[in-house]
Amino acid sequence: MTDDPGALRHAPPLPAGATGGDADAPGRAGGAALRRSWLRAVLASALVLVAGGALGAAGHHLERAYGIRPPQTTETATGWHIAGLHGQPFSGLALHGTRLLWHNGPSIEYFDLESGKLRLLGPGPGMRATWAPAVGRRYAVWFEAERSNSLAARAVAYDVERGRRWTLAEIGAVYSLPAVSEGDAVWCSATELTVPRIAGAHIADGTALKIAGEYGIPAIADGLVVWARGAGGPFAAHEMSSGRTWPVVVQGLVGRMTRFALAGRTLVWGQLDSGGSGAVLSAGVDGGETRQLAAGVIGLAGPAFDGTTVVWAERDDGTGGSRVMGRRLDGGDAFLIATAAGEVAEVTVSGGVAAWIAGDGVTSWIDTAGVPR
Amino acid sequence: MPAVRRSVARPSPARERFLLVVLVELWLLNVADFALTRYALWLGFATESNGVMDFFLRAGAAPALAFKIGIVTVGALLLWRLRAYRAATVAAVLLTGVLAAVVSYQVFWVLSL
Repeated sequence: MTDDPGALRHAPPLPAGATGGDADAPGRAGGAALRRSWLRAVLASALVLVAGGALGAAGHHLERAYGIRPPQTTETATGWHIAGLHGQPFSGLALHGTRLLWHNGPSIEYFDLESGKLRLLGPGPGMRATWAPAVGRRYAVWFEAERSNSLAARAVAYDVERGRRWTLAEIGAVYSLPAVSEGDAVWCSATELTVPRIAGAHIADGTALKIAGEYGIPAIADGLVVWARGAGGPFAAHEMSSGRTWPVVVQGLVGRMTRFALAGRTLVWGQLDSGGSGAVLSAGVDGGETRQLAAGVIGLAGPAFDGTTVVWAERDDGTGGSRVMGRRLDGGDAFLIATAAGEVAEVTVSGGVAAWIAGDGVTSWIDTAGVPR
Repeated sequence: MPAVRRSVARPSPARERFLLVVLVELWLLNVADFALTRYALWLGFATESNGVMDFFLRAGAAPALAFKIGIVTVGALLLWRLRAYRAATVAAVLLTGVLAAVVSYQVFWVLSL
């Protein structure tokens, strides 16, 4: 009776309680049968949903496991250990607060030291080449292109708070990596085969910044842009608020620079002499004395500087590994932060945490450790 | 004779109910697919690879939503009209299963970001 749709149209089942007495028992039985029939339909259709959902979940899992192959992250006694699976070395380590980013093959990967969550930020759809990222308090910026030798790279920004990425600017050919401080990003690039220039953008609204019409490897801190005019210096500075540009006078600049970092109005850099012996030095961008923080360093990597602590890595001939060293700029001797297996390629520091990329020629990994107080 | 005609014109009531529930699920999954796609596009981690949908998405959220919901509603109504045929139920099940897989993949993908 109730299986006849035509009958249903003319005599829909009444809700429970709307019928009364034994005379309505057949109607109640019919209503129960109808409910069971609908329940069976819902359960059967739920099976379709479950089967489809399981297929989608399996597809995602397989893609992550065999296609993307994200690094393995492990919490250690000192911090985190992140091991790559691609066989390609990590590079471009950037740290701000708990936000650690790096370059892994074509991928830009982001790891939150607090939550332990790993995210893949790039490359975006259609892009195959990326360059090392920079990260600030809220934003990360890196470059992407279809090919590494492309003349049409773009700067991509990622808002750490909102989890959103977007194209910040079309930059042309890449001449330097980006640098980020608060809401500003700077880089050196050339558009339309013109000479390279130091430019950038306000990250939030994309407004272009014009810093200098020359080649340079820039760093930025609180509206102050400093760039190295070549692999061995010298430095120049530009204050964005006043538009003033001046050469930064430092002493002892010899050989090849390993890396330089800017925090506040202090510049820290590492350099290698012709014999491969390294030194770490610091100077104010407004002039004054150049301080030597470390000398005779073998296998120098870094330095990095967060405004308080200068961090670098050096070879440890005793163990065959490396030492990650620190020195506070306001005084005191150099101190050991951690010993590292293998050879350290890059170091970074922020807010009392040091991170470094090390490798043994076959595999590459990232470790973090707290900076002793 | 009328009984024979009715059996050809109508599926069993159980199959009819099943088809109705599956079509409602298909419609809801379609809305979820649209919402997740819009969210992924807003996040900047995806592009719309369907050229037709890309055209409507570029025109705005309202035209894209109207097109996507409209076309699936028309398709669902068509399958409902053809409910006498077992193929309509099979098609609805396949479409719903595939869309459930797509939506499930998107949910896991968004959660992994």
